[in-house]
Amino acid sequence: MEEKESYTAMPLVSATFIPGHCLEAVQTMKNVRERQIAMAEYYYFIGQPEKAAQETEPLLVSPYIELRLSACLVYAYANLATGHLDRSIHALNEIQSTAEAMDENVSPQLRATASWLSRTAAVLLHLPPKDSTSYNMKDLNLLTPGLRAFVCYVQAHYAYLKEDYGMSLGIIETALAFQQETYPIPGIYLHLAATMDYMSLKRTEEAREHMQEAWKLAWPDGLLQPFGEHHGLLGGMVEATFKKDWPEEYKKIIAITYSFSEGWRKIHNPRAGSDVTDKLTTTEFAVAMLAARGWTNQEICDHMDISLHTVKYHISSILRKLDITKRSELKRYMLQ
Amino acid sequence: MDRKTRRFEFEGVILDVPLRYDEVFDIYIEDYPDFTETPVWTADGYPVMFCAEDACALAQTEEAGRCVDCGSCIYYRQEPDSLIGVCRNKGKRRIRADSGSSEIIFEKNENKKGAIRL
Repeated sequence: MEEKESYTAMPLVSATFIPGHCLEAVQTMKNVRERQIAMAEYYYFIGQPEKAAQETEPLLVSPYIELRLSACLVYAYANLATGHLDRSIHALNEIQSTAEAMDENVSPQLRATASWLSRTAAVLLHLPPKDSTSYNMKDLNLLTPGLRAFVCYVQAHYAYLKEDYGMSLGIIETALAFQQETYPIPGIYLHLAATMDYMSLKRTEEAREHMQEAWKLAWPDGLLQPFGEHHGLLGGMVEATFKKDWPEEYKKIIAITYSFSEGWRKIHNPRAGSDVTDKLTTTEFAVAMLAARGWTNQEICDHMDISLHTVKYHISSILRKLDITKRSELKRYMLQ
Repeated sequence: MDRKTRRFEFEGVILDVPLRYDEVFDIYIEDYPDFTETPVWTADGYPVMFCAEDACALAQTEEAGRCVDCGSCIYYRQEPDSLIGVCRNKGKRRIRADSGSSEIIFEKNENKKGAIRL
């Protein structure tokens, strides 16, 4: 096989395609190695992490840095969802050490890609980014447009975690406005981050609009993984949007949520015997997130389209399962 | 078959609250009634409330800021190891209809008969 001088990192994230034609976009990629990574990304985004991990495994030791970093990122997240924490950590460390090893001898594009993928791995797992890996906003224009949009989502997510929702929304709106073509994968993530921001600001109508935009991009190809990954942060929007009208998709999203959150928790606190995500059902988790943010029962009931009695029933269960007797103590569990 | 219940006794109130079994977590959880729909009053006329009930217009917190629920209100006295308590705000006290007095007296008829099964 003839080798290219450089490869596109995260080729599916970087790809533009019409929603509903995701698989076709993957299968028509000319380079076999990029196609292989893109296939793994596809499996991951449709909620088949085992297949995603299987596809990426041969490329974890690729001499081509873009391929290796992409394989490691997909492999890390896929193994998080399947409970193979050791493999996930190994891949994350590989991304980190690859980014740290970048020197003046590699191209600026490659350095930018490596540092941003390293930051992506850290921020999205809510791990502190290491100081040794620098990233530079000026380098954003060295990335492919699709990857640049995805990195904007990473930055918006970071601002969200800092509770700077205005900053987060500013990044998202700018990234969406500057997209000259449709990049569905970054688009889904950007709209979901906007949903999270607006939910935190209690601006449910705008949150709903972004949720619907994300769904328009995701549904035709069954790209449900991002919804499961963000379930808790979406503050009941998954329940409000999908439970009644999309019952099958809702079930899949909830299954993704359970497997992903279990792995996610383990990577944060591997010694913990149990955690809030283990104790609460996904609906209880959504109610708990809103209650912790100061939403009243009536507001939660209106938003999630459930009865007031059901909201109180959930809150009673939540407090009992977490062994607390005051709603105000929820913040300690949900928002830290 | 009778459901398993947990009995609460405080301020002249005897409540038998049904328990539901959570199979996943292997615990019993109280199935508290909606006290706004089915009010229960203490012997001296104060309402029993779920701690996470939305705050009313009379609610106040110790700290500055909005009071969200009964549990964070200064008038609320929560029963130990439970999610219910009593609202001691005088504005919420039940007034006996035929008293014609400024003294507030509770109609004790419900509680006199024994425990309330919810």
